[in-house]
Amino acid sequence: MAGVTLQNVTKHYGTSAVVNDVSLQIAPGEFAVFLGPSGCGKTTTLRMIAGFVAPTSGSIRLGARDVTAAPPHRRNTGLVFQNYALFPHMTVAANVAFGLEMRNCPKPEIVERVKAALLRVRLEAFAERMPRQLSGGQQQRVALARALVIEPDVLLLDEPLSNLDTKLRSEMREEIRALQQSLKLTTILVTHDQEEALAVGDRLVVMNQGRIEQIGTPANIFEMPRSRFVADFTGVANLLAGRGASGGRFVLAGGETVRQADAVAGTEAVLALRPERAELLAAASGRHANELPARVVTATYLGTVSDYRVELASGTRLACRQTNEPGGGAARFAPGEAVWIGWSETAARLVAPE
Amino acid sequence: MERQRPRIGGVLYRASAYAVLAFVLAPLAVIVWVAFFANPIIGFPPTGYTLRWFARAWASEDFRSGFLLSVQLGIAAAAISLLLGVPASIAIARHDFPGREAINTLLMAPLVVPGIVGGAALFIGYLAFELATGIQIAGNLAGLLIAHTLLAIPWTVRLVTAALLRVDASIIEAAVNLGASPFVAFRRVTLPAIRPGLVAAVMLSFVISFIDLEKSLFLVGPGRTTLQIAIMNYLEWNLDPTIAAVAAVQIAIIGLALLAADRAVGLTRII
Repeated sequence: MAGVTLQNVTKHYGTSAVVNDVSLQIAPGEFAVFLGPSGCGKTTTLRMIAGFVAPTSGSIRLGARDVTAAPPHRRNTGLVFQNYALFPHMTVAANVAFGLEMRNCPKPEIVERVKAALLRVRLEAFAERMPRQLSGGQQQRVALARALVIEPDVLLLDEPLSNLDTKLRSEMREEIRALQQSLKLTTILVTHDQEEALAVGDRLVVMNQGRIEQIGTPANIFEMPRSRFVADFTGVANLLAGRGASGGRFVLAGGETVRQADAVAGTEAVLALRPERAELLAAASGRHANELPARVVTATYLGTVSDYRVELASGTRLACRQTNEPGGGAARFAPGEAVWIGWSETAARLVAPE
Repeated sequence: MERQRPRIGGVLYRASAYAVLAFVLAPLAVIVWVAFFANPIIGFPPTGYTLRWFARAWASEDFRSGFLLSVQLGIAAAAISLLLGVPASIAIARHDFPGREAINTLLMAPLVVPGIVGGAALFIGYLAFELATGIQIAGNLAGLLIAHTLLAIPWTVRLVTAALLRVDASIIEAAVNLGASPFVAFRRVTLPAIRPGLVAAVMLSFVISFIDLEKSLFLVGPGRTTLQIAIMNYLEWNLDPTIAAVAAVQIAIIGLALLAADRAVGLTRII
């Protein structure tokens, strides 16, 4: 079991830096998730760890071993590809056995370990099938077994779930998490799906434009985004520019003054308010530190919840998500209706403007 | 009940397709048929049927040695073009380097130069080479083999490159990730994936070499002619079914090679 250490890793293609000065330490047995939009450098970073991309500068260590210059076939990483990349001319068993053969494992041991690996992903009955005879989810599990059977120092998962349908995706997600936990395997998963990242990761590494924006536990990233980008990427729909005033007040660009616990007088900031943390009210209730009059612009019924867009007197628009009452029927507020929008002084968070 | 009018279009379409096929195959069928005629000079109608033209063709020193030389050349040209063409295809399909397009075009060039021009150019080149170095290649096997390899290379490169491009690059990375050196990954993963393309390339190279006339014209030496040139020489003075018998054998050989190539890989999908 080994940790992964990246030190000032940079990758240039021509003049553009795809990965820019990334330093990161992943502890042995930790499940890290690289999260970010496409082109943020997360896959390139993963491929540098696997050895398929050479960093322009910086170093990569697996445990105590500096692998910066090591060729990919000597790194002992287990990579699972987005498209599974099973060998089409080999049976499932032969696919899983490949890495062990490369390690000159004795034949009887290979047979044993392949059997155990297939058992672990519940595919023991499919050993003699060809990859094309399997469904997408089964192929994914073969790819996983193939990567795990070599007992890699680190398991690398490159958007492994993006080709699966929604239901299968959440099942596989739990399966991968359970496998990782039982094997205590250092794992890095790359994804652009924040829900996936929150569900599986011990620690999330949010990346943007080749740089690390924020590192933290799922709850930490979700509740305390540090930058406008992280807030936006993790689903904070309301990002309101403004300036801190004295006494825990914050003045929005539209002129409204709201109570905001972490406001610092005179500092430009962006108020990040999750739509589900605000409440729509038919009349002012006094239950919230902030209650502002607004008008409903759009109302979208989504079953469990309804999404509203409301407009304040200044023209500032806010998104608000409300849980629907059981048996309540359609959205509670209609477009054009006068309402109040309320949130507490700790519901929102101030992040740095860009 | 209304008649289904669109079926007439379908029938016409099929009929014209068969007509074209018949048009293409008819000369071949006629040649094979004539090979069995008893007539001493090719003519209709057949006065009877015989196998003696095949025996006579085989008895002819020119045809026999021409046939053997053509077979040897075809096999050797296919093998050498594979040895040169596969690395070239890998470079073209897998790597991006300055001059890649130029090299690709160069490797395809023998296809666009008329065979007779290429043959003449090679002959002149060989002579210049001989003058400069004293080593003779014109008129001997080496010179012929170089020409036939040039014939085969464009097809080999084309077929193998197409096969390589269809191999998912990530399966090769997967092999390397699992501990295979680049060479082992090529042998264990890439090679099995492109095997149909290789078989097709060998078969087609052989056929292209075997049927060549123009390029070889300048390059054959005394007592060393290919089958095609032997046929041409014979035709200058004779018009008996021996020639049809030779052609029938040749059609059979080429037909089998193309069939094997098509079995290995849907040839029509690549060319």
